[in-house]
Amino acid sequence: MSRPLIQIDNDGNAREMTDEELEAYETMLAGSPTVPSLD
Amino acid sequence: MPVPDFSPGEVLTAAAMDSIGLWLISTTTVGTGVSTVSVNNVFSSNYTNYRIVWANINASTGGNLNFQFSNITGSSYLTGGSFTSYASATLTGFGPAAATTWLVGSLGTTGSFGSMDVLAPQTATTKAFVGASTSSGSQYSFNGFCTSTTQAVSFVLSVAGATLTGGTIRVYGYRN
Repeated sequence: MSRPLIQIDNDGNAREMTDEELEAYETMLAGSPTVPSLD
Repeated sequence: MPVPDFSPGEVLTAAAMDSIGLWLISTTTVGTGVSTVSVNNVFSSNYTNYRIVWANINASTGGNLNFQFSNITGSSYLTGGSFTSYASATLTGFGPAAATTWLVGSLGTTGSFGSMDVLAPQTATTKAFVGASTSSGSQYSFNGFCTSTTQAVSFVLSVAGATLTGGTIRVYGYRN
């Protein structure tokens, strides 16, 4: 399974997250507000 | 100060340029299927307050848009607000506990828009935002506070459980 993509510049270019970036991403989402989305 | 009225070939004076209140700092085109978008090096001592505008961003599935200053990762973010769907007259308020991000809107799968004023992100003080967003099915109004006094220069946008494709993110500075 591929890793999440992180955008690396203002032009839309992206690459897979490194271990450190993936850990930071998951920590960020785990602590984000849990409010229902209507979308 | 009068509103600038520029003509082709005109020499621009400092007074005319100084009267412009909002300056474009950066434009970011969102890629395809990205989980996070970093907008780097936009907050500086040049401006105290900023306007961020996003337009036509699509999410792989609907979800809430999260905002985090890149170097402030703790549970320093407070958000409050209300939302409703366009097919309903019910307005729902919310105010979650301190979190690792601000919740700055909701993204649908068919293009979403929003804007927020970020107040004092680059000063060594607490920070705040006021904003609103809309998708094809809902509208959200938000404001928030960040208890950290760490100076920020960059931010990250993401949606939990979804990826982002297309659209733009523009950052403007309010001239003091």
